[in-house]
Amino acid sequence: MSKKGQVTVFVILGIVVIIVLALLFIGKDTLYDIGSKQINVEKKLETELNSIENQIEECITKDTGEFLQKIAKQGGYVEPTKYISYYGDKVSYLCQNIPDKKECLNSMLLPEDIENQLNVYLEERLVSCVGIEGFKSRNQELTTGQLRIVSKVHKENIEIKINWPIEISKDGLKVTKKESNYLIRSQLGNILEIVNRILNHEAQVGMFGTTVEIISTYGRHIVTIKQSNPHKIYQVSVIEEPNYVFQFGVESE
Amino acid sequence: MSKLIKSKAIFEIFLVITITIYSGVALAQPSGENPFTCLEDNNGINCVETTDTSICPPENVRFVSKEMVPECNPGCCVLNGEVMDGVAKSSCEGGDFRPGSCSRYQDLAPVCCVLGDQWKITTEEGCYNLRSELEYDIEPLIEPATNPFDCSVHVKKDNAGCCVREFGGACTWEQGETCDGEFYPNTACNSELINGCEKNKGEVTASCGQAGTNTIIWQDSQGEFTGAEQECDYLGGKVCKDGECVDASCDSSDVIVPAYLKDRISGQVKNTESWCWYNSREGPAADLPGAVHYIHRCLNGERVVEELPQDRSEICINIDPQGNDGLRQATKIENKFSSGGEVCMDCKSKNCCENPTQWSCVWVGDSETKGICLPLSPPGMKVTDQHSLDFLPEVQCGVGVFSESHPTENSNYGFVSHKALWISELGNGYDWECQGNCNLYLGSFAEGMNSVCMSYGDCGASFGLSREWSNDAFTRTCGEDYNDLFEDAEEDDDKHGPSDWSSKTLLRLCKSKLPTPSDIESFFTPADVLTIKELAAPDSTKGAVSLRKMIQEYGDRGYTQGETVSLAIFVPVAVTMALVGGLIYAGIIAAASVPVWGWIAGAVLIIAAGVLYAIDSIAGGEEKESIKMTCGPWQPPRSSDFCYLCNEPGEINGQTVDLTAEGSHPCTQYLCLSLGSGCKFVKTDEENTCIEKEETTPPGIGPLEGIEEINSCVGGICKFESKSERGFKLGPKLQAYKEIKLGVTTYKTPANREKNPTKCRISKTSFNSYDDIENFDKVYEDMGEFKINHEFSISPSQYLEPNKDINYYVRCVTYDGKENPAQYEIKFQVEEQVPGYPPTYKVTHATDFMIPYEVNATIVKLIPNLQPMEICRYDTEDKLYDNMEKMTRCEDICTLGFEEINEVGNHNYYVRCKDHYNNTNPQSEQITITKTDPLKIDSVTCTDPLTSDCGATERYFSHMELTATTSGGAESGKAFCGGTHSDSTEPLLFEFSNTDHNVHSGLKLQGLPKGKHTINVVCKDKAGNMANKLLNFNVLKDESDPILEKVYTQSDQLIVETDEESDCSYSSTPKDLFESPQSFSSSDNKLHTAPKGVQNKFIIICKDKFENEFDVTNIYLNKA
Repeated sequence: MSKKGQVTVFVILGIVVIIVLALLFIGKDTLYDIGSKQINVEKKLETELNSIENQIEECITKDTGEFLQKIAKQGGYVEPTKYISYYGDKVSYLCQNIPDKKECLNSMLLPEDIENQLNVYLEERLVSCVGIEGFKSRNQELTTGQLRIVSKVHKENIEIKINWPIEISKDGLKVTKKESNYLIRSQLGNILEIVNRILNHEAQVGMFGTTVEIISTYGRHIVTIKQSNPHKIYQVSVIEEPNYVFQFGVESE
Repeated sequence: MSKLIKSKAIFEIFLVITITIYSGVALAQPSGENPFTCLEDNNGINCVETTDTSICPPENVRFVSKEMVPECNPGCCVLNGEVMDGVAKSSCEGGDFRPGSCSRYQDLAPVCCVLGDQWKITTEEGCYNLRSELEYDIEPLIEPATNPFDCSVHVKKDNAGCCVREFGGACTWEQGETCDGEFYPNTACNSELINGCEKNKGEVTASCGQAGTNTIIWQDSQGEFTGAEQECDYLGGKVCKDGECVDASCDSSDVIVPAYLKDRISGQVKNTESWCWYNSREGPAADLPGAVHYIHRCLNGERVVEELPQDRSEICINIDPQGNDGLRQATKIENKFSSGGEVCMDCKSKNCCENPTQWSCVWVGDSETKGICLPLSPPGMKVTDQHSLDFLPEVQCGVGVFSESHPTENSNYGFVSHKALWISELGNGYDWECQGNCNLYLGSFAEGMNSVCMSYGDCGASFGLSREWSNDAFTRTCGEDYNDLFEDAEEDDDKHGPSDWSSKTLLRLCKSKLPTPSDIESFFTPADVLTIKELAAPDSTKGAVSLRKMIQEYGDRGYTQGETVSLAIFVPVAVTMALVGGLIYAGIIAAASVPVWGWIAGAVLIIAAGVLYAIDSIAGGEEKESIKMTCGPWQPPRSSDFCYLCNEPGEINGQTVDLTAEGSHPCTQYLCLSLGSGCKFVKTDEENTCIEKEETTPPGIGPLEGIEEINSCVGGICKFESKSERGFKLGPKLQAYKEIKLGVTTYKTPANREKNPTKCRISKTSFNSYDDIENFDKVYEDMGEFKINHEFSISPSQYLEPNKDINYYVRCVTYDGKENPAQYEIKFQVEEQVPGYPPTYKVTHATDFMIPYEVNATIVKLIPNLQPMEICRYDTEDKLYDNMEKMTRCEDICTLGFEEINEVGNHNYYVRCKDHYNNTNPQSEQITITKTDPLKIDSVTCTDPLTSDCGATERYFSHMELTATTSGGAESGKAFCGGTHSDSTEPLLFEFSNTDHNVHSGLKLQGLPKGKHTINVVCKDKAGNMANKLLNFNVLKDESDPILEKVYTQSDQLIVETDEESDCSYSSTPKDLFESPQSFSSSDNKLHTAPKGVQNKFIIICKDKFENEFDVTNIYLNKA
């Protein structure tokens, strides 16, 4: 290549560089905008999703609390079917009368019974409690999948798994959330064990020894019987959560 | 045309099908009012009896009670290793359902399952489930235990430490022997000494150990026990809560202590301490109507009150603490007085009464057979949802000593009658004097009997908790209608004792109702009787009613029933007879000693004796008077003044009464209704309250509606000859010898004719007020409920003097005690109709004119057909009326006592009676009483798979079938047989299914637990003969499997030896073992042989006679 040719190449390169620099200088704001906009959208989406998550957590805590209070007053059922009215509460019979017998028919109250109800209870309330429609109105691109809740009653807590696909997208960016777990402190599992022990005795011999129960647990289990002619109301609590009193009925003739 | 017919036919078929389906559907739908069983309701609860169709899917509706639905039969359900009793089969979905109680199944016995430092009471299977759940590799420790405390002590603390496993990197706190990694004894997993447990070295947390412990435990960041723990001082009131020992005792402001314990509980109360709260004195014959037992506890610094059942089916007992540091405890026990339709009060022996498998009753008496059986506490009111207005005792009062009942009276009432002997003779100037059983007339005797009555339930006269005395329910009546005793003019209260008192004095004493006791406070002061150390001593003199005193008052006479009491033992030598005897004796002596003058003197003396005897026969006499004590349900006071005491404290006679225990005891239906018949219990969703019923005014009284039509008067229908607010006269004269029905209807006021329920008393004599019992001569009395119509009848056999006004006097009272101010009178006359014929009657006898072998006396009753008899005479020979030796004066019914029936066989008696018009039977009625041979049980067989010999004292089965044969007795062995589970002969707990002849079979005993048993086979015949046979045996149930001791071959035989007699079978494949097993041959069932054949594998199983079998065992033969 001749020298002239070399100069031309450099000139052209120089011009290109200058043009590029000029262009960069002229469009710097626009480019920054694009980048920062992408970051903002992502942040915003995440913030929005966090708000929803916080709202879900708040709702789960509130609704589970409500649920626990309700079933404690109503003998383990949100909508009691066979119950006795006791000071304004519909208290479910967990042991039904057998004519001419002191012993009763044990309906048992299993953790599964509570879990199934809790799942339904939360599923029915969560969508409206979270206010997902409000979020949707703010975010055109918010989509939700089917809400499924699975809970498990343990001795000292309740584990709640929320499977609710939520996706928010904007400008080609999207954030998603699918499953989250919550742990609610509750002595319900411990209480259910005592409840079933009481039911077992009532079904076997027609009575339950509260004194033995209290003494043998150093007073850490509290079982009290109230009468509601002619039926019995048992009130059960444990020392770790003394204000959470679970009551249920035993039917008599 | 045919098209039309076809269309019509099709339409009709359509119509029929539609209607059928519609009707079927309509009929299959519960009506919304009728109860039905819902197999599984919307909540998944099974076997719910309801009327609410909305809770039950239609396919789950069953139109029968749940007892008739097979899926609802309760049984044992094993679900995820947990054992639940009394569960409906349909509730046990996914579990293992077994019929009957879980306690029947050995593999379901509760055990203590220890896994590391954790434990649980579960079944063996449940323990292994737990191990999988907790992902433990270690073998669980399984120990017997039924409560958390016993279980927790099995957690081993020695040789524990951190186990570091290389694989999985887990560091766990466990026993050294279970560690299959590197073990660091007594060293926590978060210790710096251990490498490889970095995850455990985070924050340490404190928490409380499992229930059954009262310790703080410290766990590492992985939740592993660090070995550090601290016991909270339980006796010092400390309890573990959220990983801290907190003081949970109560101070005096937290709890309320009843007055009877104030000297023992003062200052601080320790956590879990408890005591009984009684609203009255407590225990046998003590708890008052309305009183419920409560347990008060200090729990976690607060007062917790437990309410025991209103019917007192459970009662509270105190357990005194051992020493100063002990904890005061109260617990409840079952107050069980009935079993299989029998009540303990009917027991006549200590053995029967204190049989713990039957009931929890106490025997109060001097010996094994002389005494009475009482419930631990009088059963309270039967409380149901349906009854909110009536006071209904749980037990009927006509039991035990009050078990006689009158067919026309309420079955809730019972009575007992005893007889006292009265003699009128020369020695007492022909004044009537009581000579035998005179204590029956005393107030103390009535009080004693009332105590017995009270002990049976809310029966008899007693205080209510409003401190008002109500004595309507216990009455003592004496004085027969035509009793000569009334002729006694004297009243001589100043003499020393009952035998000196005149008949009038005693009758007056006898008739009054029980007065208000003076020691009122003792009825309301708990006496610490139901305290464990006191309970063992029924002779305790503590308490307002000393049981000892009660039994003394009751006396030996009370143990035998009414008319069977023999008076012979009480009759002293009568003065006249002594005099007559003395004169005759003196006459004989005189005649024998001095000739002529002595003979004259002797003759004079003997004549004097004869004259004296003749005078005494005419002027003197002997009377046996019945004293009847009736026990009925206690009646609440007739007032509404104290209803409020159910809701709040109040003041009675200047004394504060707080039945709410500072608001701890909510108002109960039982308490409310006991506070007065003017109280009404109102139960709302918010609270229970006791309110006053609407206040009443003095009631109006009128003739019983329709009284004119239901009676027969001379000339036809009756009418009112006069009628006013003060009474009525029915006339013209009522026809003689016809039943007369009389009564009154009560109204709101004399002016307001709106009908209103009241209680009425109707008397033959005028009386001053409803409660003027002294002048009340009962014709009719309302017991129990308040009524509008008060009707009674007079039987044709009752003698009413003709042509003379007969007056009955009526007084009625409303539920709050308002009484008709003026006495109401019922008047009528009966026509005179002199019968032209002697009286006729029906002869009745309780056991069809047969008496048992050991009885020598009996009673026969004569019931008049038309005109009543005045006197009946009887003799063992057929004589004229006036010559007959024995005589009885009749009331409505004539009662004849035949005595000295000593020999087996027929005994004839002849009876003639006279009516009030001197019509006398011209011929005797012959009555034959048969004294029967004793009943014998000839044989009893006790059949189980091993033996039929009842003499086999060691039995290997928990079941057997009994048969028996009987002979002798009233009907050549025909008898009714059953048995008891003790050496007592009553009450019969089971009976032969085929009985009532001389062979008895079908009595199946099953489920007999291991151990000693006594079965008493008891037979009774028509005459009342009883025979029994005691069977004593020991059940030694074999529950062990046979053991395979040796297996060998001998020539071409495989030989198997078992340690006990067994049936063994074999096969070459597992399938064949159950489908087509081959049997071993055996001569002694211990050595079993089978041909070796060509097979080289034997699968064998052996089963002993108790169906115990060992696991299937494979035996391989070396054919080479």
